[in-house]
Amino acid sequence: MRVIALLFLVYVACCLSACSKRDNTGNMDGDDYGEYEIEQPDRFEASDGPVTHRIDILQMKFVPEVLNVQEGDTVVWTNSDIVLHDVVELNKNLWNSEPLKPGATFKTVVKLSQAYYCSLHVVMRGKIVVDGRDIAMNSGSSITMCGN
Amino acid sequence: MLAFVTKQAVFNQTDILKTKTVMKTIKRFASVLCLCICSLSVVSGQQNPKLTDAEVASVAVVANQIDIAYAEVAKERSKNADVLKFAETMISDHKAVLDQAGALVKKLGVTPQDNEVSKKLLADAEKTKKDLRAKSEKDFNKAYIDNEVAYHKAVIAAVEGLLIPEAENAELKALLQNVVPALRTHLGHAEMLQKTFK
Repeated sequence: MRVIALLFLVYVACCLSACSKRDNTGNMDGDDYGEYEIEQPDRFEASDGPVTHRIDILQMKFVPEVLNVQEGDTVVWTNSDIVLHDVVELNKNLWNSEPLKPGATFKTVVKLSQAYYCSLHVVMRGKIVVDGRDIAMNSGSSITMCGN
Repeated sequence: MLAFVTKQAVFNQTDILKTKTVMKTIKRFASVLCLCICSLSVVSGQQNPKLTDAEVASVAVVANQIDIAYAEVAKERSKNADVLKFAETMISDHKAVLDQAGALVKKLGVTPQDNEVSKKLLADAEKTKKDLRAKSEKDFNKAYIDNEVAYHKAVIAAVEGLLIPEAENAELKALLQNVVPALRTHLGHAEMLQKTFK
């Protein structure tokens, strides 16, 4: 009798485990969902609410250069370099920080995937990818082509 | 292996033909770079000049001061917003490096010592500033940015090939190593601007 009870418990545990796995991934075999694609494959990895990500500005680089976030997350840049830097949205100058002295920070809440650069050192670039929607990093020009 | 080399050579040949103008420019800068490196060797009288840490510090300080001086000339002469912004960055960044260098030599109790390399750099810079000031308003931006590209290439070569190997104090060596990414970024920035003055 004890053995049967034990086997039953193991069976229940296995069922529960299988169910919870299915809920978490939300994406079993493609057959189950026909041709629908899961747009946010990383969603199950996120915590319940928005989180804060950090980008270090060090040795003339944004670290990490590409940051994956979820819509509504906060990104904080810290200037850990010895020179001034700033953070400016690349394509349309949608947002920008003031020049950041060493140790200074800038933060923004991100809703769209965006590339950004340092307007003081125009070759320094980075991008934030929201919900896996990748974009090109060199899609904008940070120099006005005004010649002489 | 031979086939690969030949393929490379053919590719390079085609590439050179396609980008004749670009290559001309690169050749000109390369000769300027060689002149700068050679002058560093010639003035010292040997292939690997022996510099004390005080002399290394002096060369580093002078190299930063020279680029600030070039930027000051640009602020006087240029009306191009991108060039002016670049010049402001050069002033701000090289001043930050000078502050770091100043704090370090104070901490180490070292007084930067003039030497043949730093004197030659200063003399060359005086001539370059004179040449830049003599440019017409139309030609100034290109001349300034061309010089910035050549100068940063020469300084990177000197820091990596001379100053870092010569520096004995670990903190002085580390400071010089930390400056290289900034110099490379300045070079990339100048090369990006250079493309707008073709």
